[in-house]
Amino acid sequence: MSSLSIVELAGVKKVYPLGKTEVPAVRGITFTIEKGDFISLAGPSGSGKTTILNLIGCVDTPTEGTVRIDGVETAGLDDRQITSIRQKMIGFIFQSFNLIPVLNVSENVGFPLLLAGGRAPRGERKEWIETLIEEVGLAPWRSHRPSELSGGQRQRVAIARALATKPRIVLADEPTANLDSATGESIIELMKKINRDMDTTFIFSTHDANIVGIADHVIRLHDGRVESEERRGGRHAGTR
Amino acid sequence: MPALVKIALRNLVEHKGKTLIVGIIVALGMTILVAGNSFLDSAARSLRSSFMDSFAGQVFISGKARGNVSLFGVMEMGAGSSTPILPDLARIASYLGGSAEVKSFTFQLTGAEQLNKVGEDAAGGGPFVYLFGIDAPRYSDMFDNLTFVSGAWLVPDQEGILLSTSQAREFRKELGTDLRVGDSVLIQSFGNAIRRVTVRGIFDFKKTNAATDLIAYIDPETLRALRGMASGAAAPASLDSSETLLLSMNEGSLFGSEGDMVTTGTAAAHASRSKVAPADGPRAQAVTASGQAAGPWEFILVSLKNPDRAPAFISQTNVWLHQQGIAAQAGDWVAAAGPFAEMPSMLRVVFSLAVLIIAIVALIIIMNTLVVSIGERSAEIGTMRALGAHKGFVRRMLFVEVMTIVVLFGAAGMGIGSLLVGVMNAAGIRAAGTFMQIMAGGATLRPTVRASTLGISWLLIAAVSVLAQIYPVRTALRIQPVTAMQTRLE
Repeated sequence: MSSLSIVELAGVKKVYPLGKTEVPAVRGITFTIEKGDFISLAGPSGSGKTTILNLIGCVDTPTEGTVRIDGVETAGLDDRQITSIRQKMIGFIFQSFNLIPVLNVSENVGFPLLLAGGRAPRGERKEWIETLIEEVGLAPWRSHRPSELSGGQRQRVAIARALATKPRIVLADEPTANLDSATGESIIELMKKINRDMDTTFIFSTHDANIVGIADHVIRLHDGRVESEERRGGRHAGTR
Repeated sequence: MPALVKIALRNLVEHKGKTLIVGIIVALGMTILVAGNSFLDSAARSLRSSFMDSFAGQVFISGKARGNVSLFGVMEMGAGSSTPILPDLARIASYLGGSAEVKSFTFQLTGAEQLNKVGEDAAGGGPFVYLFGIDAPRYSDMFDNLTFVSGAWLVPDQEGILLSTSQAREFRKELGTDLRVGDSVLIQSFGNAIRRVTVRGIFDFKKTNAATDLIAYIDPETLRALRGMASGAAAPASLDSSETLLLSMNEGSLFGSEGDMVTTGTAAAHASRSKVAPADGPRAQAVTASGQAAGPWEFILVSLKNPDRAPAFISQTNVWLHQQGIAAQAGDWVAAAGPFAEMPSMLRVVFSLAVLIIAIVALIIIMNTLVVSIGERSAEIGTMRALGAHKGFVRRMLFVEVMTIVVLFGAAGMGIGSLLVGVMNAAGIRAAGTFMQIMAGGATLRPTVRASTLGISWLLIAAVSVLAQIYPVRTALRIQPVTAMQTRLE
């Protein structure tokens, strides 16, 4: 594993039982994602994008092969250890935003910090939350509940929340699927800006060609296999 | 405000329906517990005070029997056995006299007998009474329990009976004769003895309970004679022909036994020779306890300087009795009151069972409501888990939510329950009939709420709520973060 790599998948297979049969979702995938990548997992529905995100996000485990996050192999870790990895290293942006309904924008953004405990001084945390809210352009809505926001605004809250603990990796599963194309593009642009400014690795899945075009690194999947991998610009440009 | 409490409160408002279901159950449960326990506690306190102050004392010492010995006899399944004579009376009296904890003590024996009128038209059918044979000066010194309508306490060595106004009323109702101080009545024992005795006083108990209506006081020698116990001091009874006939009608009755004694006229003299146990036998132990109470006794009633020390003193006394090899036992007022104290205890058991059933039903309803709620919130919980919430966080969050309901609605229930008790206290619950008087520990019950009642009610409600959470929380902890990836939250 190179010193730059933050995610490494080697010979990963994932099979889901479906009644008496087994459905292979991922059929032996190997790739590496490097620190600071802005990477898109592209492919049609059923190609294995979400499964791979789940495996990288430590919310699922591979049937075969290894997944390493920042050099740590996730297989064999107990729930507490896995949860700690998610808490400290990974930020999530969900297709359906998944904001906590009873919390306002500011509280939603600060929620991962609540989970992480009071390591940072209260004032510092508050300032950081404000910075994130401003970064995603939601300062006037900081006291609004999710139900009072548009889809795009909600996804911006989700982005700010995903960055709250300053994670090494942000995973976004179809982050623009529930948004109109203009809003979707602005969300991806925002993610890219944060990727540049904060050097956070972004891994997002999409089947939208326009969105794929914004990514620096694209892994195309088909039927649970890597069809192609392309690096276009950015720090690690190249094609395999 | 801590973040978890804030989340809990908002979630409760967000899910109003389920909050109300659980909350109303908690409030209702708390109301029942506070009102019910306050009623029972007040009844128990009233009963305790009524019995302890009227005739049971704080410590009750008796001989041992197969069944439970009380002031009202021996309770056992099947054929009842007679109340044992208290053995080693002098040693026990000496032990009590030497104890710094004992304020006073007195002796007693009891007989269940029937009153009858004196004269040519004497016939069966008078009221039944529990005759408490007492050492009157000592007893009245310990129990300031009577208000005399006429007459007064018996004086030392005086023969006579003290009847309550209700017994006098009953006597008139059943036998058509008004009783006054100085009149004589016949006392007919189940053991086939009969005795004429002078009414020396008619009284009311200062504190009434169901047992007080049945209690009359008598000099111990007359009762010993009726009971077939000899102290050597029993004077022969004098009966006229009809009274003797009354006795003969009862000879060989089902209640008679070889150990009992016939004490009519000349029969008493005969009995003292033949049917009375020898003076040195176990049933005829004549002792002088503290120089006052001679003769066999069945019980000692003890009053302590500090009534709160009763349980410890009872244990200590039982150890002493055991070490001394004395076949006697010490108990509390409940043991002394026997069946009269058992009925309220049974009511408490019934109430406790009812509370248990209600608690189980409440537990199931709360549990189901929480499970449904958690099912609806699986995306939220999954999201939290994905964002890095440990299982402990989810557990604490749900705990705080349920306990917030418990605190808010429990306080409401406590308020309603206390208000109900306050209304009952102000109005007073009149106990109609003997059964209710037993339950209420007197004619009127004014229940009060005690801190201990509230504490126990809170503990019970909290326990039910915690138990009701176990399964739902386990369900919540099984929710995987991947759920958040698959479900829409808002």
